[in-house]
Amino acid sequence: MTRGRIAWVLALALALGSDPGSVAAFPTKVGSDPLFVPQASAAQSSRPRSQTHVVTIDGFAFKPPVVTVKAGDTIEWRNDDPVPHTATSTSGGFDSGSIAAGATYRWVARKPGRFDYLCTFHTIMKGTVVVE
Amino acid sequence: MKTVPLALAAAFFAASIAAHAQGGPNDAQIAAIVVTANQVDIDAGKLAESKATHKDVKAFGKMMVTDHTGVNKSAKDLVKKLGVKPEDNPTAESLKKGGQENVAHLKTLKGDAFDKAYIDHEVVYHQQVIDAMDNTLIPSAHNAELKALLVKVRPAFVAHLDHAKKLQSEYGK
Ligand SMILES: [Cu+2]
Repeated sequence: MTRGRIAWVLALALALGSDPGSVAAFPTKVGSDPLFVPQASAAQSSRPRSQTHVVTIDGFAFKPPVVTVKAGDTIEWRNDDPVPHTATSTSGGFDSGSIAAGATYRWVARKPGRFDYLCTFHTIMKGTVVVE
Repeated sequence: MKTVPLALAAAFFAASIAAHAQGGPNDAQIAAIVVTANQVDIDAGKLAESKATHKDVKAFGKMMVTDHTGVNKSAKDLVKKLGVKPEDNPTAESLKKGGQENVAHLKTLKGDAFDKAYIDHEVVYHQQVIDAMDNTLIPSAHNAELKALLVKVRPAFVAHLDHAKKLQSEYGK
């Protein structure tokens, strides 16, 4: 087993020899993380099944103000401000309630649609999530 | 590990205070102004939270307490990190005096008169703080982190001003 794995790693290292960055990183990862290879092949074939999109709440604004996601993706709001905010959809869907300073709120976008939202504390703060 | 940056910060502030002796406020004075400005609005907000008649005005007062407490905590944390001791100055003094007078005046009022006076003052106060930030505090801030903090919390005052103006148009007549 061990000898076979080493031989395989060496073969890979040789195959990737043209890229100096890969030679150093690749064998180490194969040795320590058996999941590395399936992940790598998934990344090559298509987009991962679901993604997490981060919206930063900073300086009393949602950044970026508009996020476009696929159904099944997660949106994560991170409150970087020293005061609490909310992310509250005006057309149903999600309502974070108070997100404390430094806290996060996550919402999984199940259905396609356009969700305009605001902070109910500071209603000049507005954003949009578009679920495709 | 920690003493070196603190010593550097202290030396830096000693130098910046000397440099600004004749001009605008130094960073230690700016720290005092920021902390006082927030405290003044926390005090008024606490009073409104208990005394206001309209629930929107009550809720606004509560939010002022929450937000300005949060802003003040971030200001105090930074000041502590930088090793700065907030330094009293005429601007901070006048803010404090104005705040005390406002609270004293509000305590004599009841019902709609209280709500109107509180909101009217909130509009003026937030506008004054924004003007002070734009004209004096942000341009005078010497330390990059202090300047960044002022820039970061400025939108809080803008949001509050906008909110107070909306309440003023409803209850301030
Ligand atoms: Cu908010």
